[in-house]
Amino acid sequence: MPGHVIITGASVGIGAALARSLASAGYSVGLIARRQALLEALASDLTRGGAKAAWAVADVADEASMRAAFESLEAELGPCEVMIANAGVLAFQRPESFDPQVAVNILRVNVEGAITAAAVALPGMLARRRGQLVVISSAAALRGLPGSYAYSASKSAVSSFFRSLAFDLADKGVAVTVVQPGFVATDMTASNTFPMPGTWQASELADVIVARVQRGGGGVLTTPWFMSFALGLSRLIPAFLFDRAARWYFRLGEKS
Amino acid sequence: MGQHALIVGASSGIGAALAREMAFEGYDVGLIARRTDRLAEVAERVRARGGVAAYRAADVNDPEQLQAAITALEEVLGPVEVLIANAGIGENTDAANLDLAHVRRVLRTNLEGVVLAIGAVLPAMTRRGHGRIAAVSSIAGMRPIPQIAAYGASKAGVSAFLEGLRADLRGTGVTVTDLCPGYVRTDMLKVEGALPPFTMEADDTARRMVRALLAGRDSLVFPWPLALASRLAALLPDALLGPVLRRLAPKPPPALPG
Repeated sequence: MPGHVIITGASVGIGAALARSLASAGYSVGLIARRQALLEALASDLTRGGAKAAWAVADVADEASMRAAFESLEAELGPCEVMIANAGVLAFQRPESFDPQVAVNILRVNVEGAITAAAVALPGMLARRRGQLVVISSAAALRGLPGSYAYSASKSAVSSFFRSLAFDLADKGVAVTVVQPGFVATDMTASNTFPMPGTWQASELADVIVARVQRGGGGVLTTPWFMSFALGLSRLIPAFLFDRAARWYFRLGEKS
Repeated sequence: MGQHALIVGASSGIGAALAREMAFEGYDVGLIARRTDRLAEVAERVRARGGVAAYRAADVNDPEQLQAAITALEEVLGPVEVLIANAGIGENTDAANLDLAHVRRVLRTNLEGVVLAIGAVLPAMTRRGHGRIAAVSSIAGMRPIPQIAAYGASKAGVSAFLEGLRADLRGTGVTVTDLCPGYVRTDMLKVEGALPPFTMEADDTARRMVRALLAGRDSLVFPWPLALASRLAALLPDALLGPVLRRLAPKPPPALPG
């Protein structure tokens, strides 16, 4: 009997796709995001389809609001068996106009926010000796990229944190899955001006993640497979060449 | 008068050694850390050897304090030509009792602190078209290992940030150097009994770091045996390495590299 899965950043994109995929697989879904109207609409959509769904408004960067949201969702849908830390933000920056506060916000949401989601869910999972943590990182974790270096830093940090945590929790009944998607068609990437090879639909990615959750979770999941291969191979290219090519690439289509 | 080399996290350990080393290379050193008394000692030692040093106390977690301190030092020593972002703390992570206050302390000091320090000098350096940026990351950021989730994450984040920033700055005259040491004998290295493998002295570490960053190198990962081991371990999947790492990991947890 599939249990209760909580998703942060559930209102749009990969989060919303995960909610739909989990609901159709029979899970109860707890939705967390900042925008109430979107959560309400999604939850009632899922409920109409026969699924159990509930929502709570919270900002993952705010621990108190996350704790309150988590408690209200557990009260409504029962103990959280799977926590999916999905909320994330992206911004492109240039060195000459670099605003550290933009970078700090990316780190607070993508790194601290994901760890906060895990921290509120972990005590219950450890007490039951059963549970899964899933974090939606990014293939950008595999290499620092021009323009989005704060994003790369955040994803590199969050992948590292959860992979390390996976070692520590391996004998405690909690599986940790680190998902590193390449390009996914969502609102977040809609304004990217450069070509995005191998772009996945959010629903495709969600189905792959849900299949992993159904098998008990665990491991690093990079999609599509050639992303980790390509970024690994990129290290064989001399950095001074790769850097210039990457900078040119990520500025394609940009108005100067 | 020499050019301004700013060291953030300069009151002890590698930072204090970096200050002496940069002064020896002829730079006027600006020193930032939280503890004024320790900064005064470091500055005094630089001056005793004929160097120029100025210092301001600031917390790297506080962007306004940090910016004010950098502005004040630039008024005395001129625009920052070399930045070394070194401030960092080492704490082990207890996964079974995940403490968010600990996670925030480590991430905000080690990762946000580096981002804020770089952010404070980056636009001006880019406009001038020359300068050197370096940050002290760690070999621990190259491959996730047990028991140091937050520390490892902070250092992995620093290295990725520098790598992306370097790609944007390549060819502009501003260089970005990622300094990844292994174990260094400082206050951060809390060990009783035998030292961890290939432990280095702070002075020697600082000398090698200064040489690398003044040469504008992309990165310095050292000592080489640990660098090689980390690079190889990074290629192996977690599932394969997990059982080995868990058996190697001592209880209590290991001292922190870098």
